[in-house]
Amino acid sequence: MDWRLIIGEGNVYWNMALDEAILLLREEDKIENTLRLYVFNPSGVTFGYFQKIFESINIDFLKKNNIGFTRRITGGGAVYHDANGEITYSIIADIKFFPIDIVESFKKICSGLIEAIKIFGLNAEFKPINDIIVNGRKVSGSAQTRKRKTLLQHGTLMYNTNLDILARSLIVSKEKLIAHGVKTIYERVTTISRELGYKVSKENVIETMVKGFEKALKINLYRDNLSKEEEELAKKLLSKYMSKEWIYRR
Amino acid sequence: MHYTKYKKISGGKSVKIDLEIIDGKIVKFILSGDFFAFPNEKLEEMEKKIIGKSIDEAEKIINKYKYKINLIGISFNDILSLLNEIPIS
Repeated sequence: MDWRLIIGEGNVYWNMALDEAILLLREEDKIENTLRLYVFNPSGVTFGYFQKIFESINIDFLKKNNIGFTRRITGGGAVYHDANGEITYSIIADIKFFPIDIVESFKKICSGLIEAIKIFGLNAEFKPINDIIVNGRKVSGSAQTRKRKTLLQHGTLMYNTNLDILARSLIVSKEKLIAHGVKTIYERVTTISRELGYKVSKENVIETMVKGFEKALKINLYRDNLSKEEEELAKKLLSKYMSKEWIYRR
Repeated sequence: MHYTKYKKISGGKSVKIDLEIIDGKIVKFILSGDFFAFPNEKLEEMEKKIIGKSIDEAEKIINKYKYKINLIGISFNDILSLLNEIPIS
């Protein structure tokens, strides 16, 4: 089965607008199943649909450091997307391709990342609901939403994220760390480079992600460009992701 | 009277209720947290339906939505248990 592969980068608002645009157009059967691999450039922060902004992210720190932030259309927690250390993936595809059970569908898609991490010689495992861990620490988190016919899942792969900036960008409750059996965010998260002991490149990570998803999902990815309609719809949606009404709605 | 009730769920997710009651009626009801709801919009619809209702009525509404929303990371019983912590005056 052939799927489109879109590789690109953009700021936090554009990236979230484009994910939604592709979801809406896939739902109308106007585009094929798509894997997007992208970078947040400049670095950005996204947080979950139901999260309260003031309890999830450190707005003062983000503003002082020109790190843009917006709310996602998917649930889950807050994420720091490092321009020089994290690749985000989005899968926007026919819902029939995935298990109906949500956690099982998380697992199926995450198996693409697990295969990718294996190529680096690391052992990764899926940790329900939506995490991937290496040596007990999180390297990836995912989030999902569904339309009637289409599933969107996006998530991270941290290959060299600055964990100091991550720790200062997000508000992580003590209870959450305790629930994961750790005391600090440094014990909770890690990166591919940190686990390997040497720095891996962005290009190398993208290449392994492509191979990982192809193997795990039994698909063939072909490079494609955004259609005019996708670009135009994403441009229209941009104002939503930049609006105070959307960002501060909870 | 304003109430905030929070619950950490084993597994890592959490849910919080922000609720305000005036003269026995709920005038504010906001659920928040790092959970997932499928579909998102139904949970927002439920929040809106609870406005203007008593806690007992809110409980009935929440029970009705059990079959309309798939919550992941938290459960409807978590929401109901938080609601039950609020004293009925």
